[in-house]
Amino acid sequence: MMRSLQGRLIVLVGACSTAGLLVFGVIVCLIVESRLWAQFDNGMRERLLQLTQLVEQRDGKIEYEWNESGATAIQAVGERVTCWDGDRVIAVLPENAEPLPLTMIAADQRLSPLELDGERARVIAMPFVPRLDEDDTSGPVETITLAVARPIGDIISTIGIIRWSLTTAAGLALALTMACVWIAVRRGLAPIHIATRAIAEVTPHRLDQPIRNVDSQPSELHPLLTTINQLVSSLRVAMERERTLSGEIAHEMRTPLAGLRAKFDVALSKPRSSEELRGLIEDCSRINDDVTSMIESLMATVVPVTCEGKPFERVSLTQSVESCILHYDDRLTQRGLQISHQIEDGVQAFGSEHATRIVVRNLIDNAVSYADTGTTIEIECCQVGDTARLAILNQASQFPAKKIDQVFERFWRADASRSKSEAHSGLGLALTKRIIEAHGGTIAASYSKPFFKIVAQWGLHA
Amino acid sequence: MRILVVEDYEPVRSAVVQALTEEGFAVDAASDGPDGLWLAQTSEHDVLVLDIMLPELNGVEIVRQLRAENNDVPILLLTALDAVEQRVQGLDSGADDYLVKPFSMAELLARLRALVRRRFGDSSSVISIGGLAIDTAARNVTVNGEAIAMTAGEYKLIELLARRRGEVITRSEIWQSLYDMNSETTSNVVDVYIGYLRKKLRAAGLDSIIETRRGLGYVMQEPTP
Repeated sequence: MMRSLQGRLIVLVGACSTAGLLVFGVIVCLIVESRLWAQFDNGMRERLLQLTQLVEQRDGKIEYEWNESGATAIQAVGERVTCWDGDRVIAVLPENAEPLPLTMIAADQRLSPLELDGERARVIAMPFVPRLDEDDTSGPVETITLAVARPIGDIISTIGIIRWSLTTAAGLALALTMACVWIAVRRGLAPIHIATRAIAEVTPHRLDQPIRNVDSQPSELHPLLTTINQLVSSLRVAMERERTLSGEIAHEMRTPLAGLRAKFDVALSKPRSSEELRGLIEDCSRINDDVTSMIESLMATVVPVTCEGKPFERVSLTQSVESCILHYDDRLTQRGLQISHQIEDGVQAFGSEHATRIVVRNLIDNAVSYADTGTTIEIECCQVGDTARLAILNQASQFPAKKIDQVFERFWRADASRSKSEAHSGLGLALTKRIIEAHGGTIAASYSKPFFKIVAQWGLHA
Repeated sequence: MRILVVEDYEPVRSAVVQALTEEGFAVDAASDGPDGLWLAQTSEHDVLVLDIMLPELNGVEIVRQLRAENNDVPILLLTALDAVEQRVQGLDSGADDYLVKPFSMAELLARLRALVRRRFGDSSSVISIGGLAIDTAARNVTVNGEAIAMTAGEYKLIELLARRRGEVITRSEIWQSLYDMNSETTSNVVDVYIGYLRKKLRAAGLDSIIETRRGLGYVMQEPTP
């Protein structure tokens, strides 16, 4: 199967040209041949009419004025007379005579082929009544059939020459056409080669410089090259995002890994008691928990949010919020915080129960972790039209207001350090946003010093 | 030698503090920027180990503030930030060394020893005064080639005196260099350890290498023939 566009075009155009030339050649050939045959037959008919004037009936016999006809030889066989008139043959015979080899001669002047002295010939015949000699009183005049035959070698040869000429001309025309098509296709595909060269210059290390000088390329290529530039730009942005994420992950992993390495180095630096080793192993275990938690959160932010294969359903947001608040009693006391809540009964969200719990936990955890010590966290959960709404407000006087747009970015922390809580990797709100959006909901954060507020909304339907 | 470690990630901080303490350093530790800066400004330290991404006050900012106050204490930045521009920024801010996490504790200790050497103008890890030789890397002391057994406290004291040889060091300075802020010892312990040292050195044949300057402190210098 031909895969080259150039090859396909050449084959297609070649096939069409061949078919066109073939049809044209056949038609021309047929027209020329028919005209030649018509001319040939008309000549024979004229000759036939001339000959009828040379036949007369005298004393009850048919006589022929051969000399007037210009005949070169006459042969009489019984009632039949055959006369050669140059390259023609003239046969005159009574109607009831033995038929000539010209057996196909018919009374209706039908033309028929035959062989004449081993050469193919055409014959024309016509029945007629010869004129009666003025002195003949022998009785009624007989109807006789006059036939004229003529070899067709010349005309066959002429037709052969015409056919050969047409075939040769068609072959040359075809070759010329194919050459023109080849050149045209080459020229037509040149922009593709130009585009290929331009695209080849875009390397993975040069994605920030896509195809340059698009305007200087053939105009047919502008849409293609512009589209490729847009594609490369999108690719670059995606790669940059991935690179940033990889860098962030690497950076985030360095600190706990440094903790592990430091603990191991200390443990191995000298002989340790079992109690010391136990303490070091417990430290390592805690670091491992931190890393595991971070990786799980990270995975949840980068892989599709699922609901364990279950279809979305109506889940009780009221119940999720109430049960989640209960888990924070100790931490609230520890930080001197209070929670003031307005939770409507029967508020429902449409989605995954597991994912909804993650969202509620992350939002409340964020408030409990970063609220100013001794302040009150306000939680509101209600149904607003076709949406379930969860709003959490806390005081965060140290929050950098200019960075409010970054709170849902992965690994972003209001405070870049880890001292607030080892478990906070800066992934919670990113994961929350991802889940909410996967549920067709919305989430937004706002800050008006010192109040930090997050509002999440779920739909009630699919 | 007294070192200040400012690191917000507790596992790293505790491991570094433990390793430095076991290495014979007196170690102070802080978990956020303001505390770290305050300790660096109010106490004498021989080296600072600073994380960069600290709560409330960035490690690089701490370095800048200390340098602006003409505090020339050697500073090693210990951070997860590994980009070249971040290293350049850290070193250009006035830090003396930069180590990226995760790190080898042995490397950290070696870098800190190098910083201490540079601080006191020593080019070698072995300090020699008269017949006394102190190998600060191997942490052993010899007199005329004979090894002398020393406790951790005695070694800290003799290393300090040797590094600052020819310089009168007050009891208070010695105490600050040898004990961290959480130590419950008193400055009297300095006199006790000086006595132990003199006794061991005298037994090894070095009699007058540590002199007492009344009302001032102590000085280590080559014994006069």
